[in-house]
Amino acid sequence: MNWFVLLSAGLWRRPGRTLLTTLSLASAFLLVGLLFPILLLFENRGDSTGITRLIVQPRHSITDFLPINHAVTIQGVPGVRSVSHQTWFGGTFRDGTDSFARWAVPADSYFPMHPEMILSSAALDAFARLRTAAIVGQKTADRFGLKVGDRLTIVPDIWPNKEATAWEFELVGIFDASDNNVDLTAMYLNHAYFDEYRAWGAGLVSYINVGLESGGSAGDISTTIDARFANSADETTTSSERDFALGFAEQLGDIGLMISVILGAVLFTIALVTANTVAHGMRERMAEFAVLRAMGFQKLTTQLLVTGEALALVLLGALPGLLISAVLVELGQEYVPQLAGIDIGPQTLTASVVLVLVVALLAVLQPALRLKRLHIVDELRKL
Amino acid sequence: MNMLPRQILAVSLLNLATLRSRSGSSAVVLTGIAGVVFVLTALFAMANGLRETLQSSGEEDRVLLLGKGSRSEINGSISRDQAAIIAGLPGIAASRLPGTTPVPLLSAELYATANLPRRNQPGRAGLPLRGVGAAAFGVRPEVRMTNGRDLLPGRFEIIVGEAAARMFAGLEMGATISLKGVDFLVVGHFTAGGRATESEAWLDVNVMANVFKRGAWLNTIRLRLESPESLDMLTTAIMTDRRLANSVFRESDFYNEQSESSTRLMTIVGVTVGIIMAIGAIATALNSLYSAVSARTREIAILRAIGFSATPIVVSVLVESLVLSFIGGLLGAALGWLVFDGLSMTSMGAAYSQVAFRFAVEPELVLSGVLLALFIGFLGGLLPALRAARISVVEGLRSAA
Repeated sequence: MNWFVLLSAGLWRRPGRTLLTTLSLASAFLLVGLLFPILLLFENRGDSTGITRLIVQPRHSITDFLPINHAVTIQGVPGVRSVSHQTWFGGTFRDGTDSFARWAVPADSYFPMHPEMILSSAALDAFARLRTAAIVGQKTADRFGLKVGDRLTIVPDIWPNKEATAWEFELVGIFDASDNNVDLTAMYLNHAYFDEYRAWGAGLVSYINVGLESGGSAGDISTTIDARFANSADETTTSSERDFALGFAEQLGDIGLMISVILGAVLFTIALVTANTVAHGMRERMAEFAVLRAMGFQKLTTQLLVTGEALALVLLGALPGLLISAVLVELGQEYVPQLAGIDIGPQTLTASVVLVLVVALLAVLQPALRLKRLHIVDELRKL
Repeated sequence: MNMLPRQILAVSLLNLATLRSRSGSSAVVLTGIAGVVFVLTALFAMANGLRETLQSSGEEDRVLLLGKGSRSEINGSISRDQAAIIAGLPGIAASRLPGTTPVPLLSAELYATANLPRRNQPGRAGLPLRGVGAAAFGVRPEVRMTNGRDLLPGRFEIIVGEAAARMFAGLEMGATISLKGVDFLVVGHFTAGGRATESEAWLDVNVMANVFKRGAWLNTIRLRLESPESLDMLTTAIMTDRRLANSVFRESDFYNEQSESSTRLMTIVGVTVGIIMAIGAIATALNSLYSAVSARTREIAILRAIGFSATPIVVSVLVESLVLSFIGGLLGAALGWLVFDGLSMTSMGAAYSQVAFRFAVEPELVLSGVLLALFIGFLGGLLPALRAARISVVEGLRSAA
C-alpha cells in the first residue's frame, strides 16, 4: 500500500474542512513571518562584513556631536587601519513628504571604507573634486527621477548656512550596493563644503567610522577608544555597526516587548484552535482506522499515519503563509521605511519549523492516544 | 402570521440549549474570536494612549517657532538675535503682574536628548533635555513643581518631569547626572498634568548653551498668543520681516502631527495583524459551524419534517454563531482591558527620545472589538446556515444520529 495514497486520502476526505484549516494555519504563519523578523531586528540587524568596522558615537546622546579632532586621536590607536566620519545633514527635500537620510562625509576616506557601496570611479572623482557634489542611492534616484547633473536643493533645519539660504548640490553619481545593509535611499554630500559653509558647529561630526586591521580585536579596540575620551566633555561609545543599529532599535524598546506579547497571543490562539480542529477531524474517523487495523495494519502504523497527515496539513498551511509574508515584507519596505532590513532569514525559518512540529504534535496527541486504546470491534460496529 | 417569529425563537433556543453538547467546537470558535479582539484591543489601546498623551500636550493659543524648514524641535536653529526680534512682534500675550512692566510670554529654548539607563529595563534611551529660562513657566501654566524647587539661573541644576523620573534610573531628588562631562544636581520634580512635557528634564538655558557648545544658537521658541486668532497676525509679521525665517506651528497642530507620525506604525501593525487574524478566525468559525450543522443533520431534518420552514433553521445557526462571537468578543476585550488599561509604557516620541503614556482601553474600543467579533461571527455562520437550509428531509432522516 502506498503511504502517499493513504495520506492524501485522509487529507482530502473532507476537502472543505482541510482548506479552511489550511487557511487559518496560513494566517497564523503569515503573522509569524511578519512579526518574528521584527523581533529579530532587535537582535541582529547587522553588518554582513563582520566586525571589521566600528562606529564611535557621542556617549551622551544619539543626537549629540563629536569634535572632529577625535578622529586624529583614534587614528593613533593600535589596530586601527583607517578613520572616517559622517554627519547628519537633515533638512527638507522638495515638499518633505519622502524623507531620506542625508549625510556629509569626507570623499577621501568614507567611500574606501565602505566598499559595499558601488559607485563609478568617475562619480568618485567628481565627488572629490567638486565642492558642491552629492550622490544618492538608486532607490531615491528612481523615486524622484534624478539623474547625474541635476541640482538638488535642500532647505536646512539643523544646519543653516552662512547666507541663510537653501543649500544647493550637484548630483554627480548614483550608487548601488553589493549587500542589502546599504541604505539605497541615502544621499551623501561633501563634508569639506558643508563644514566651511554651515552657520554654526564647524568641526562637529555625528559619528566617527573606524576601520580595523583585523576582525578579532574589535572589543579591545572599542574599550581603548572609549578610555581615551573618558571623563572629558565629549565621551564616546564605540560599538560594531550591528550594535550601533541595535541602539536605535532599542529606543522602540517597549514596542518590541509588545510585539512579542502579541505574537505569543496569536500563536497560543491559533495553535489551540488548529490542534482542536485537527483532533476533531481525526476523532470522526476512528472507525476508518479500525478498518485499517482489521486489515492488519500495526497500531504504530496508524499512529504514524495520523502524525504524517497532521504534519502534512500544518505544512500545507505554513508554506503559503510564510510565502505571502515574504512578499508582504518586500512590498511593505517600499512604504514603511522602518521595515528596512527585515527579511525572513534562517532564524525565522527555524522558528517556523519548530512551530509546525509543535502544532502538529499538539494536534495528534489526543488521536494517537485514542488509537492506542482503539477497540476494533466496537469501532467497526459504528460503521 | 406570527408563526415565523415563534419558529425562529423556538429553534434558536433549542440550538443554544444544545450548545453544551458541542462544547469543544464552541470553545474553538470562542477562543479564536477572543484572541483577535484581545490582540486588537491591546494594539489600539497603545496607539490611543500615545495619541491622547501627545494631543493633550498641545494648546490652541500656544505657538512653536522653529528654524525655517524644521519639523521637530531638535532640528530647530534660531539665533538669539532672531529670538529678540520675535519677542517684539504683535499678537504675543504679555504677563500682567501688578506693578511690573508687561513682559511678552515667550520662552526661547535649547533642546537636546541625553542617553540614560532605563529604570527596570536593560539598555539606554533618550531623555529629552530642555534649556529654559524663567519664562518657560509663564508660557506653560500646566507645569508645577511637585517636589523641591525651581531652577536658579547659572547653576548646574536640573529639574525632572515625574514621568521622566519614572522612566529613567538615577533621576531622584538630590541625585546627580553627568551631561557632557558636567554633573547636574536634581533639585526638583515637576508635573505637567500627564502631558508630553512631563517626560522631559529642564536645565538653565545659558548653562546648557555653554556645556553643549551651542554658541548663540537656540532650537525652539514657545510663546502664548493673545488669543488663538492672533496666529495669522504673528505669522504675517514673521513672513514680512527679512531678518526672520521660521516655521510657525500652532502647538496643538504640532502635537497632532507628531501623534500622527508616532502612531502610524502602530496603526499599520494593528490593522494588518487584525485583518490576518480575522481571516483565520473566520476560517475557524466556518469549520466549527459546518461541523455543528453536520452533527445536527438529523435534528434539522426532523424539524423540517414536522413543518418548520428553512428560515428559522438559517437564523438559528446564525444566532449560534453570533452568540458565540459576542461572548468571544466580550471576553477578548475584557481580557485586554484587565491586562492593559492604564498600564504605563514608553515609546519613541520626538528625536529618539522617550515619551511616557498609558494604555487607554475606552468604551468605543470595546464596542468596536465586539462589533468586529459579530462581523466575524456573521461571516463564519452564514455559509453553514445556508447549508443547513438545504439539508434534504429524506436523506437527513436516513442519516445516523
